[in-house]
Amino acid sequence: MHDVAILAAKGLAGGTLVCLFAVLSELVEPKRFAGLFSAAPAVAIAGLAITLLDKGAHDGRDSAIGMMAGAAAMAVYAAVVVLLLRRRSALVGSLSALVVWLACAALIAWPLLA
Amino acid sequence: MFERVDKRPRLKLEATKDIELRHLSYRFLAGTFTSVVAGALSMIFNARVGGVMLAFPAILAASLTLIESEEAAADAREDARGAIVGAVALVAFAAVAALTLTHVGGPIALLLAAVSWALVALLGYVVLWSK
Repeated sequence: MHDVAILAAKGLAGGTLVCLFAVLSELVEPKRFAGLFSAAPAVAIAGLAITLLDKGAHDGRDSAIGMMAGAAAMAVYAAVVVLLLRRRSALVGSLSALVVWLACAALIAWPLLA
Repeated sequence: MFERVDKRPRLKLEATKDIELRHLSYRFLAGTFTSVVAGALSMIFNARVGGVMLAFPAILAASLTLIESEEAAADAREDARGAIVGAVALVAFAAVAALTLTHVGGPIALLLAAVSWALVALLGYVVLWSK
């Protein structure tokens, strides 16, 4: 029950913060500047905050270490999506590039997870 | 990819009326999904595995799809370009959080990390693209 409550709290907090950053993204221009907020640490802040309350600082630190791999992979993902969007729709491009994210995240995370 | 942007960044508050709840709900779902999966992975494996998922690009994918459907493919590409720098800044966020979380209070560490993200993102934008 406790685990379900924690997941629900993370989900609610993450979704809410994503919306806040999405609103900010809609209110700024040009589009390239707004794109910064598409990679804002909304989910991270929500997730880490609840992890800190539930598990403490050491788990929070470990989450942040893992996140470095995911974030580096996200930068590669975004670059690949820019290239794919020239030839494919955003839906196809952004979904197919997830394979790139997964591969990069796994490659970078491997030494961090040891 | 590296051509300068003519327009200066600005806030356009008048765009508030154009924000669609439907689009926000898609992003809410993407954020919720990512958060729950990250949390579940932490529980099933460990915090580092779950942490990788904290930077899963579900929100970015949802945003690009919405931008292309409502505006244009070129706008989606522009958003993705900005997200490259945002993601690099996300690495800075994670690094600062990892370095500070066990040394200072959680709220201070998260604030430092968030400020780091903002500084790296803005600096990256200015250096790469600002005229």
